[in-house]
Amino acid sequence: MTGGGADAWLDRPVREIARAVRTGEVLCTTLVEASFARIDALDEEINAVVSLERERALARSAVIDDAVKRGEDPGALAGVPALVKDNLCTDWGTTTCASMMLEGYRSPFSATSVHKLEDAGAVVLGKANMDEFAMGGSGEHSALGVTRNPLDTSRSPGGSSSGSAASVASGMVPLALGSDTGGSVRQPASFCGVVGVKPTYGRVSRYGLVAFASSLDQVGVLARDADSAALGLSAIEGHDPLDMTSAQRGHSGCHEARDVRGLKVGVPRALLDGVDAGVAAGFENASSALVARGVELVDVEMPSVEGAVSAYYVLAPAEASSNLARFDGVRYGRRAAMEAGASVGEMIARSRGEGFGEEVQRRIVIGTFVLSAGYHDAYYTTAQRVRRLVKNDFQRVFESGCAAVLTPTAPSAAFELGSFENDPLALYLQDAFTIPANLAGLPSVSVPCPGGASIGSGLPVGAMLTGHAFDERTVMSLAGAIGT
Amino acid sequence: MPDTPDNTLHDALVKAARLAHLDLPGERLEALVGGAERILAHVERMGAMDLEGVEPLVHPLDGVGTLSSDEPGESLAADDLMGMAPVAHPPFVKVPKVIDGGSS
Repeated sequence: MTGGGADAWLDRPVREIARAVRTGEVLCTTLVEASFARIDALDEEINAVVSLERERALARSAVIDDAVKRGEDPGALAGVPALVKDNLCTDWGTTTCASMMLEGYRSPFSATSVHKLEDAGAVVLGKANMDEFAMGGSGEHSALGVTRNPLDTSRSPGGSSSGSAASVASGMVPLALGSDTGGSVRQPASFCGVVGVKPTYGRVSRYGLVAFASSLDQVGVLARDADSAALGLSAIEGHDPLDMTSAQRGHSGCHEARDVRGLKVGVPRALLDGVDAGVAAGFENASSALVARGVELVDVEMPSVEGAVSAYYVLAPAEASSNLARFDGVRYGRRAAMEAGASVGEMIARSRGEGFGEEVQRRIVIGTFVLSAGYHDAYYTTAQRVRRLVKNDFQRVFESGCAAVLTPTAPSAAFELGSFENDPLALYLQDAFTIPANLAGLPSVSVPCPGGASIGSGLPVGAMLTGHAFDERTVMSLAGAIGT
Repeated sequence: MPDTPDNTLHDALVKAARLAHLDLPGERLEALVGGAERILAHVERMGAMDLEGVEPLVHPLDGVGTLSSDEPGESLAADDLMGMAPVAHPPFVKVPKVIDGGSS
């Protein structure tokens, strides 16, 4: 297939694209050129992409096409164009975390997840925009400019994996990697009408992911449908000796859907009060889709989850303040120009004052405060206790026989850009549904609710399934049942 | 939540900004601290939860985490390391002077 036909392949599921490349029906090079053409046409307005490596991508495409010609199998993601969030290190191009602090930074190594993606045959075209250092839920906190929602460019694409979600939703690429510390893959997936999965903590290596909050961060996958996201996750998962928090577990098997008939899924209805009418309608559609496929929905109680946002906004800033201490203009990061006679301490403080954006600085201050003598027990230890209760809530639901918990992904559809400009707390509260899975380390996926543009504002809303630790196969299968 | 040992939460947050090595213009510092105060006021709702006897959870999953064997392995080449430094004079990384009063 050539010309316009190749362009149409970009809109197909990942499994079909890879099959077509493996069988020689379409050239990888043709697909990648079509993907670059879409980016060139669309990204001036959307700003989902921060850097492209055209020569490298086309050279890799040629290698894959040659392999196919020799009768070799390039892998389960053969020839699939992809973007990766700019907090995943690559030993090509730059890795900026969308921050002035890392302007022009070139990593000497690549993240394991990026290596694995390409080992499976995907072609990474470049880096996706994001909220600075993965802090933010709107795509507005990037030193490289705001990312816009391709479905309505006056609205936010969500964040912090804003560019990853927007690039998939706009058809620039069929697959993208993001990272999820408190919902940063799932919330933008919900806003942009795509599927976003955060795996179990430890399922995917964090090696090469610039750390935000190390006990919460996970690399995730965004794609247009559940099977495509599952294929992407299947490619990047697995033990990595370079990451000491990487779990030594067998493969999840998430690339092959299981039968969901007869599964029980818990719905914590008390948490649904206050969601937008469109979200409530979409959620009912998602619930009905599961019931139609033989899933039993049961009401469950998760009272401690209401404390999750509070706990998260102590724990995540605390870990961030520690992780971001290395960006000081000495070990890493932009060094401020100083007048003669300035001390090294003044240089470090100026570098951090100029290099980080406001949202990052706010979290560093909160994190430093809650870890400081006199406040540590009252804030940090208390938050760790709440984290235990949140995990216990999930445990109780699972012990009652539920395979997963079903909630909306976010309390609203994509909001207008600028809505939370002067109210960071209100933006934080948008994470209420996504944060619990990060605190408990559980696999969680957002999938568009059936009904799409007919719901409420006409914008998509996501349903979210959170499952047992290391049971990505079940949550992805349930997501597929909603999305088909 | 405890009474702050500093005069106010505001003062404690200003001090935290200094401890975090953030040199910010006064207006920007005030805006940042104001936002942080509102967030911490919300966070303090945790104090109303019954946490008596609850063991803190440090890490999400028990049993995840392995130690590497203490054996020499591949590491980054010196040239790569120089490339990562903000200012380098190979084979050295240049940093501002930190002795003799610390002036650069």
